Amino acid sequence: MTGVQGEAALGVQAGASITGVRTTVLLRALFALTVVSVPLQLGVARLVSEPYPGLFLPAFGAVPPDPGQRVVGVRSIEVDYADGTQVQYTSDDLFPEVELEAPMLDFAFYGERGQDPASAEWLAQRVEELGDRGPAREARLEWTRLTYSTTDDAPPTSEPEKTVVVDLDGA
Amino acid sequence: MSATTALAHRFDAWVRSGDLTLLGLARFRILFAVVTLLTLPDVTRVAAYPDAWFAPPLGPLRVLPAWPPEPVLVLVQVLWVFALVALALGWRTTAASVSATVLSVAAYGLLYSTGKIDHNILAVLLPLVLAWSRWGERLSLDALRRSASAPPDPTAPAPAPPLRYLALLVGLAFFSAAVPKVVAGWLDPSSQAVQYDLYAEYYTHGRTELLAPVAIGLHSPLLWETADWATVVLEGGLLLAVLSWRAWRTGLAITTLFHLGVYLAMNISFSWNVLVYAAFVPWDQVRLPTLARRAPAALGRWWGGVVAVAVALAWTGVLALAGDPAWFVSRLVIFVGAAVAVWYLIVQARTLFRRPQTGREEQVPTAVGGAGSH
Repeated sequence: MTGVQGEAALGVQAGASITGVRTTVLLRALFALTVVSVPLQLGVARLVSEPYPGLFLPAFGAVPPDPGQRVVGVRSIEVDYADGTQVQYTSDDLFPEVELEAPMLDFAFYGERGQDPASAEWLAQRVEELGDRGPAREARLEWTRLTYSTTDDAPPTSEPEKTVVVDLDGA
Repeated sequence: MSATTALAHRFDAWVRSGDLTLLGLARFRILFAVVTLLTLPDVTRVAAYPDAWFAPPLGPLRVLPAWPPEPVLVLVQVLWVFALVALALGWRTTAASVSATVLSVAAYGLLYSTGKIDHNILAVLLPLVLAWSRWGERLSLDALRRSASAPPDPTAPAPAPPLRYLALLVGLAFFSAAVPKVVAGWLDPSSQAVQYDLYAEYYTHGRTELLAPVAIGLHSPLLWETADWATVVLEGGLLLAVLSWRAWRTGLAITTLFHLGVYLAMNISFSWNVLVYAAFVPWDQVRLPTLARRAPAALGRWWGGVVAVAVALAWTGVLALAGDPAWFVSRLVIFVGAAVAVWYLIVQARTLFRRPQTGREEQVPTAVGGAGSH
């Protein structure tokens, strides 16, 4: 490598502002601080919750508590309309705009948020848009656990987990 | 010289060594901005959600008491698009780069305030990191403004520190994903974590396309345990590859194929990461048609407008072809990235068998053909 090529490879050229002593110190500090920040971030994520923005990629994390079996959750949504009809929906129908619809349904309706009048109002409006048959009276959201064997293709066993009934009449 | 001083000097030389040119980075800047624009989510969708659903992750969004009013969301979306268009055109590129990251953090922060964070942080941070790479000094409106006083040198090298830093961020991000896996027991031979997750993707999230039906039917513990170990080794080992450009590019090529495998078997698209890896490809070595190479000079001050129209037409075309441009473009990135990765690995393998090792990395052909330094 010639001297000119060497300087070019080091970014040493007219107009480059990354070669001064001050910049050298800053670069050392930036890289060192960034490396040190990672265990701190991991600690915060473990002890509190994952921060955003934060330097994370999917950890997944979970390993089978019971090797040979996998319990997965499935959701079903049944809506009674005022005209007497009953329609089944999926979480995908309710939240087509999000990448993962099932966690969104859990977030919005599995816990206390599902009892919030504003959540009921949102659901009433959404199923009215979807159904095109006027207002709805009630929605039943069911969570079911399916247990699969991971060692063969045996059909899963099913077990109800939770049912949330949302009154849409007054929403 | 003490060991610490020697180490510091080695770091100084390492951090400034690189082989990308300003032209190559400028091409990547346009690619990054256009792909990001085509896959941009709509932050205004949260306007329809009740305030009970506002649960921002730990961070700056927690200063907000509720969802911002819809006009504010519309403003964020418009500014976000504006920053990315400015980045594509190279108009006030440094400001556009910083703005793109700041607005991405704000917009994605809002979108992630319903309980789930999608891990696209590397693509979010990239414009901020490369704001200091001079990636706006070629193929840009900024370059047209300056060209009268300082004609551009097409072979001018790009400053290496921003690229080294971006590589470090990628390596650390993967490391931060590997550590929890090890802690959770992914290396325990009695449990198969990848297979465990596959069941959730398949049955809960309905990710049943491509090779997923085949993968769900595989019940070999040895196969799935190998997948567990390979994932942890790849994610943890990538950080070490940061030390050498050749090792880094090889690691990224393997990781790109890993993303393809994950997409085929689990239908999880990580096109954001693949787009970030493209920053390390020497795009200046890609031979473009003569017209494309000469277009900026020939079109003079109209160049920016022509690019804008071309982007708009491409957008319309993708919409017409695919219906959902984000879905189509993100899958295209994964497959094109995998093709580039295979090409690079073949070039590396041929080099290994053809030429005895001399200890001089810079004599090895680069990712996109030709000899160049690493």
